[in-house]
Amino acid sequence: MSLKRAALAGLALIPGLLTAQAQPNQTNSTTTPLGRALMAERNGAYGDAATQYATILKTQPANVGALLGMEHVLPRLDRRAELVPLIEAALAADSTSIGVFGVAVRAFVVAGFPDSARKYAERWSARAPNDDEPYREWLEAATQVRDLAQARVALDLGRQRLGPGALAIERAGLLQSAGDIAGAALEWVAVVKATPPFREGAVGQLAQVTPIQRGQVRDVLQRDASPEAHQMLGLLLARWGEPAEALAMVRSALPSAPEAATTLLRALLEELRLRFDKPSRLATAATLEAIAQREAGMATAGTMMEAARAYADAGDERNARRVLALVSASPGAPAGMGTAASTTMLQVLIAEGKAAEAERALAALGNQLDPDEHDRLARRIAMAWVRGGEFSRAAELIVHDSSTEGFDLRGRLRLYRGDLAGANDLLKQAGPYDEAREQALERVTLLTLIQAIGQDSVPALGDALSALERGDSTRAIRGLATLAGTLKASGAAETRLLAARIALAIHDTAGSLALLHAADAKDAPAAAAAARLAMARISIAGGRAADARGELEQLIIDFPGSALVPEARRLRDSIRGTVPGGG
Amino acid sequence: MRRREFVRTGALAGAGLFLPRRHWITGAPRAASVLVPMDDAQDEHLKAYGLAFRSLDRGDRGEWLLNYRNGSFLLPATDALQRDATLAGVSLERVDDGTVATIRGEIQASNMDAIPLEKLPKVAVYAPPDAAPWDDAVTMALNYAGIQFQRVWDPEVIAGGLEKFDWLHLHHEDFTGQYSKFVITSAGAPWLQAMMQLHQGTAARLGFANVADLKRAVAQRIAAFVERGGFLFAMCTATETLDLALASDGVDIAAAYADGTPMDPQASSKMHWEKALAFRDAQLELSPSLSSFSDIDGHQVNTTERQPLGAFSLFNFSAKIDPVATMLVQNHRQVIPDFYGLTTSFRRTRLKNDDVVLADETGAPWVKYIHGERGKGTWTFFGGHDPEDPQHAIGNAPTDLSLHPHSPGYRLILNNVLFPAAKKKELKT
Repeated sequence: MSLKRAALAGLALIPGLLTAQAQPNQTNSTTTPLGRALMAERNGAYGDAATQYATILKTQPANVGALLGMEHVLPRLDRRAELVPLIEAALAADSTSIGVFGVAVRAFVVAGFPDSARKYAERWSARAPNDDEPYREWLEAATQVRDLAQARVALDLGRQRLGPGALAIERAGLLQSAGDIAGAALEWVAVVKATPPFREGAVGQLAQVTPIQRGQVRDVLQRDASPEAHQMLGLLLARWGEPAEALAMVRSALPSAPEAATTLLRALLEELRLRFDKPSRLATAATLEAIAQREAGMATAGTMMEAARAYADAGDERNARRVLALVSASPGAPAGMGTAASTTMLQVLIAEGKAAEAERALAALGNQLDPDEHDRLARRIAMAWVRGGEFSRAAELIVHDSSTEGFDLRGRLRLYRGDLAGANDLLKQAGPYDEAREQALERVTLLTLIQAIGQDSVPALGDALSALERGDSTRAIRGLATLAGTLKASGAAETRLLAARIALAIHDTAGSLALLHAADAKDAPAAAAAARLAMARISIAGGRAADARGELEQLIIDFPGSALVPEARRLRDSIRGTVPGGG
Repeated sequence: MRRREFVRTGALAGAGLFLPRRHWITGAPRAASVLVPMDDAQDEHLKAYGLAFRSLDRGDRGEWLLNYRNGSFLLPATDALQRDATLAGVSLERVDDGTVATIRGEIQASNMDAIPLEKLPKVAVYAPPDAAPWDDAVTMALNYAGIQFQRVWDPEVIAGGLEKFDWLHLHHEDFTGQYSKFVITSAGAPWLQAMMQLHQGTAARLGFANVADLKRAVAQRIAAFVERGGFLFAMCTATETLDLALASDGVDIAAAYADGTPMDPQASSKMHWEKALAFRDAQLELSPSLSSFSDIDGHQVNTTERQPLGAFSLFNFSAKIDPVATMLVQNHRQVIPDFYGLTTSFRRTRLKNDDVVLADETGAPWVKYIHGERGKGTWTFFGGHDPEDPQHAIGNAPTDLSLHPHSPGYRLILNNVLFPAAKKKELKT
């Protein structure tokens, strides 16, 4: 709704609102005919509303409130044809009312009379020669009925009357709707040059083009040498998932004034905010650092801290350390910043695998940390010990951790030592839920494996799983395959299934298939169903849809009660092409 | 047999006067049966129709138990059926002869009926060769349910190819030949250019002066198909534009971009509504750029007069007296959320007097789902584009029916597909 239309609608509502204030216990419709008509309209009694509006218009044909009411209710009553004579009567009674002109322009567009719409837009413009509203109203109405040709006429006439810079936003939008993406991009640049605060809005509009059209936008903005175009392109690239290119483009077009530069960098930060991939985190960190360089006092230290965390989250320990050093040296760092810096440094140490150093740093932080944060960091250090084969050190660190994650990790530690009974108890205590769904699924998988094996102590399983934790997948697969040969049917099948999954993760398809075939055992139905589903997925990935379909059908027929059957059916439907996203 | 006779004999048989001695009616003791429940006990409502269809394809016979547990199927228990149901995830209930007898007793005493299913209908879907399977709700439903069909288009229809089929589906085709009136609003869009090239090339190849002429000829052949006893099911714009094309014989209702001449401004008053299947007295939309054809549609989705979506309710019919209408409304939900299409609904004031309203929106000036007869055949019109994509717009992600296995809207579509499989019960002489 345009401002003028909103203002007119507001005028029409005023009688009702005043009544409501004066008589709070009564409906606000009873004091004036217009108020009553409005109330009927609000209550959905369109027929009554139309009758009441018509009564008003009989004595006051140019009453804008009543005319607007008719514009709303007549279409709902399938009587839109009645609007045109009412407008003609209104214009005869008052040929100068801007409100009447507005209704007339819209109504004639909808009724398919573009010449009349034009006539009244021009009359309106003659009354307000410097106002672009008549043409905007006409253009918006034509756009609403998707008559882009008529909208174009409105635009061209408006610019002819008001100058080439008029209605620039509308022109850009119109070009984009008509598929002229390059023209739209150019026009949006012109809009931003004229009114810089429109930059984010323009970027939002251009971001809506299809992936195929993005190339056209990029070409236009790159060819345009203005900083505005490059700033827009930088923000667009961030939104389109190209964070490194986005950062480089924004850096190349940063305004020299610190405030304007910070505004642009914060806009980039906003675009990157919801992206969690490594390149986006790195771009976020660099953007924060650039913002910090343009800030002063405590704000600088705070933003630098954020940058350090972002570097650490992205796994860029070198830059995280560098920025932390800058924070430590910053004279403006507020109290408490030291703890934040130490925590971030601790995360860097963990990421670097320096468990002993990290443990010392954690001890040094002592009571300064929130207990939950302390436990979280302790678990991360414990995992670093596990990766180094130091299970006892790991266990000592988390011995008092009673959180779900603590039980989970203690259970895993038991498992790595081959203590299946102890692992079973602790993993069960951790329960089937977790904040991270993946972690919960892994836990359920481990519990299934432990229960299928059915023994209290299997050191070979601990060896294989700890090898996996250290990243030695080959040793893990070999260990699990060897172990499977010593176990009873269901334990053997689950163990082979796990080995097959690890093999698949390292792209050893042949090895994985061999293990899956071995896991497909009649007396281990749960593992067999999972093995067939995995084989079907491998067949699909290899382009053997018919094989996959056979495997899935055999799964469904042989194990109709398996929890994997719905997934198998879904996959079968994809192969048959009966649901989208086949394969 | 004319549909009218079918209705009559079906009703008589349902009343127990002419029960044929068939094992699927009497419940032969040697053959166990399975009940395919269609109430909330069913895990895969949509695939259940495919199961019944494929059972017929294998030469089995079954029954459609109208209004019994929301339109369940009684099928012979065979290994093939069991395997098929397991693969599709369709719920079955094994029933012995005693249970079947109890079911029949309940059907006899209630507003229910048992309709034999014995003829595998030959199904055709009218769609251009480049149409994506995801752009047509019926194609999606048939594929998902596993019901075989053939695709036909203008060349096959003009060459008399509809003779081979029992059932024909039309979706969002524009039989006024105006490319759904997107020519001005979407000028330059590649999909529109491709569509225009395909249609214009086809019209030229088939010897028509323009696409509007070709589409009118196609519409007339479709109407003749119905006259001869065919079953027609149409959705979305195909409903409205088919009738506009039929009624506009000799009247120019197409914009200049379609046939080279502007639409006759007096077209509305020159229409021959007696030639239309369902509608009458509509006012045609004169603007070539407004994506609306007439005031038949109550919702006018692409205009400023767009009406909000509500919900539509299915009517209850007497199963024994009016089994056809009853078949078409079998469902486990009686109130269904509405969904837009280029033609979403049908204004009551534009319906012919003998149209049967199957579903409407209470209190609204429009209806959603209608049915009628023409000659020896029947037609059924269902407004809207995709029951599970209420706001459907060009470029929307395709609907994945595996996420909507209980869709009541799609069930209505599949009722129509199975409806021609129901055959009259033979009279004892």
